[in-house]
Amino acid sequence: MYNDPEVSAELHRVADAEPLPPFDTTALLTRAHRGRRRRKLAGAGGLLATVAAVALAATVIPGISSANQNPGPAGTSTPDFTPVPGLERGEAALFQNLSKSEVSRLCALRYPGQTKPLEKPTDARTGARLRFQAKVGEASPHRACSVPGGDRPSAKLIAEAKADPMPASDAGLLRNCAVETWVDVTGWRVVASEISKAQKKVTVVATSPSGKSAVACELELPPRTNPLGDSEGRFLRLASLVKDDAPILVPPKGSKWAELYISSSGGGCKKNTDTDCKKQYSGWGRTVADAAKVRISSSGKTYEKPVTDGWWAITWQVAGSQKLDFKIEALDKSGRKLKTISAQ
Amino acid sequence: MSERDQAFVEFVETANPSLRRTAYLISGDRHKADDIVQDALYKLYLSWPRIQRVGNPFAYARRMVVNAAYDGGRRPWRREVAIAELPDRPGSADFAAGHAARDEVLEALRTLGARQRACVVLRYYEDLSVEQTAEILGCSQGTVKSQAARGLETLRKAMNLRPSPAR
Repeated sequence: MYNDPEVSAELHRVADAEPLPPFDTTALLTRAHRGRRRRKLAGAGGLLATVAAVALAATVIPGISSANQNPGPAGTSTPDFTPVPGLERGEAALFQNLSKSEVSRLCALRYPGQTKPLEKPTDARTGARLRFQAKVGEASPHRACSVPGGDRPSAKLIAEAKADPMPASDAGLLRNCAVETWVDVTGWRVVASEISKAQKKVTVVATSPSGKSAVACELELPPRTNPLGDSEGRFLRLASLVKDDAPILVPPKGSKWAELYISSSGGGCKKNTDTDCKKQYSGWGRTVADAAKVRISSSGKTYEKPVTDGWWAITWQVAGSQKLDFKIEALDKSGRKLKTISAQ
Repeated sequence: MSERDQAFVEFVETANPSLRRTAYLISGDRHKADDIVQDALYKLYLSWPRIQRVGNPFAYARRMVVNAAYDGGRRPWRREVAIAELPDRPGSADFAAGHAARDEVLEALRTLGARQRACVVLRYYEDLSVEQTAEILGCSQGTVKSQAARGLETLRKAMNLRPSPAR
């Protein structure tokens, strides 16, 4: 008999609603063996002898260095993704330079129904967005190619994402982002998200386990309210994976990280005087380290969202006849304004 | 595979779903929860023969998981608050109404303090007694009673606020 059957049932429901990916027992056992080996080494002699032995072991036993001790997120070895020839898997693909011909090949692979070539093929990296050739008014299944990563999602995963376009769980958000980008971000950490039924849009910002990359997926759901909209996933390289690869977002001196503000707008208004339509706006980014929330003020109304490690995401909309008038501010815990991120 | 490994793997395969769900409820983050459980099981393996001798490795593992999740949970929770609860909205009413509803109970759980959340999860999810909960969390039984009662009240409010499925 439960202490409180009703609340117990609710807690079980909440816990069961979060899907559990497979648990990587093999990785755990490998790590445990290494730990046990180190313990034996440590116990074999005095402090100096131990230090020497570990130092020696680190040079001769593969995988004993500290860089390899983390187990990684559970369930990374799933059949949900298959490799894309010529690309690295996961986060490593983001740091790979791709030639024009490689980019064209990958876009053709990613968008098999698209018969138009790229407007201006160029060297790029995973997540770059290149337009397909199209005449004004011409129907096209996709406006642009988001250069895919090295993890092709399985048909099952694609079907799951399609069936659940507005997931309530982080796992669902990451799955849909991975399906869009072809980068297995399912082990990443969601730091901001916004789900707007009105805009038929899901925005999710997540950071990689290494902390060196971030992704912002803006997923447009059919039927799109923004006729120019396409889903996309932008990747940010926050630091180098390897020593000689320059970091992309260098924090200014004295700042913890580089600040960002990315916005987009759309809507079905033909004229600014239309009253029966909505203008839609969305924004995401990274603000100052002390920020606890962001506040959007528009047309005399306000709306707040929390901030995680500076990351935030927000959407809002106004009547078509309303003049664009908004302010996005970063606030600290007590509600004190730290800065204006954007205003019009 | 050695006998020790065999027994350990069997234990992990059986216990990991329950441990991960408990860690998820306390930490509020699936990825963090998985890391916590991985770390706890790793430590468990290092002392496996001794723990097997003592018996009930699950209780031992749960204690490690709860304490790790509880310590991590002292920092602020990262997730957003439910949009639908905010009265002010720019533009028209469909701004908020148009957002997908979040799980009220989960959101309420996330608003609890770390100790309160751990008390609630151990008492009402794991169905442990006040004494067992106090022992795991290293606090007095009085603290468990008061923290669990407050947490329970918050959860009940959230459950009552939930719209009826008939609507």
